[in-house]
Amino acid sequence: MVYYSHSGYYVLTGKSIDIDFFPIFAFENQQSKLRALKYFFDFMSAKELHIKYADVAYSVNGGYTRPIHRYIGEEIFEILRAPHILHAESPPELWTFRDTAENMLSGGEDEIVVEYLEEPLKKYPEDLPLRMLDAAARLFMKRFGDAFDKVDRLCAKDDKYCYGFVYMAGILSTNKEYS
Amino acid sequence: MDLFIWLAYSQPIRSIVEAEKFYKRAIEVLPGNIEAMREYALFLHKMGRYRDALRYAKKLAQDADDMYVELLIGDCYLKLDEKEEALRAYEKGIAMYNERIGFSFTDQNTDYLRNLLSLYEENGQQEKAKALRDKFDLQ
Repeated sequence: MVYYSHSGYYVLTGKSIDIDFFPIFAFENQQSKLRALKYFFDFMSAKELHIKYADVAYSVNGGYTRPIHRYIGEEIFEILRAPHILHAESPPELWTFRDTAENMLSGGEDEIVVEYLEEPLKKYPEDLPLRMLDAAARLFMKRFGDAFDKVDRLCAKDDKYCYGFVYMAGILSTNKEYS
Repeated sequence: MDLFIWLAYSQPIRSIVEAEKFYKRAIEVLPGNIEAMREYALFLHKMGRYRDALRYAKKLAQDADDMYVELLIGDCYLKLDEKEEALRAYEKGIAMYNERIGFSFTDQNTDYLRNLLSLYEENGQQEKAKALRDKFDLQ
């Protein structure tokens, strides 16, 4: 809920920020997900909208948010904890890696994603969002076995990524184009 | 699987085979995940494997009161030519309809309604057919 408080600030309380919103918002504005995040929080800041408390809804296991976009929620948490991130000269390097890879993937440049991610994955081998993006790129390259093994390892590492199997099965069975 | 369904299906066979591997693994690693089971049941239904789809849809129905799952069960029975069971499941699904939530008129869901309508007409249940037509504004 957003309301105008007595102190003259807009206050967001007790409602959720659904990460579903960002991929659509980014698509409609022809922006990357990271730029969409910054735009959203800059807008809130310009409106002097103060966040008192908020839930961040992922909806991955409900099939609404793609597992490859789970990282958006993690970045929102980071921003809420440390808003100065948005005012730095450049975003955290890891976020840029994720965003660039996601951008390439959404542009259908699957092979380049795998190539591009080689270095970031050496630097951040434990970053599950990067690994999920890598797995998705391999699926789109029809390297199904690779994709399967990578999701299996992600799922073993963190069961929040197990829904990757349903996501990928859906792509394979319905010929859904990545967008 | 019915050859016709294979031929009518636009996806390459390899993708379908792979999809099933991913679904099966999802069911293993996400036991009790309603969405995973629903997607798998819908996949099996789409593949014409109605008996298998029914098995998963029934499991799903035990865990979730969901109109669309009941309608899917009805459809599986209908495709298996078990019309009484189909009618029962379709009606159970329709009984769960909540006007405030509304009905998602996807092609598949609309087919369920039309199938129920046909069953009513086949059985001479004209009043029920009319009520269903009026409720969902079916032509």
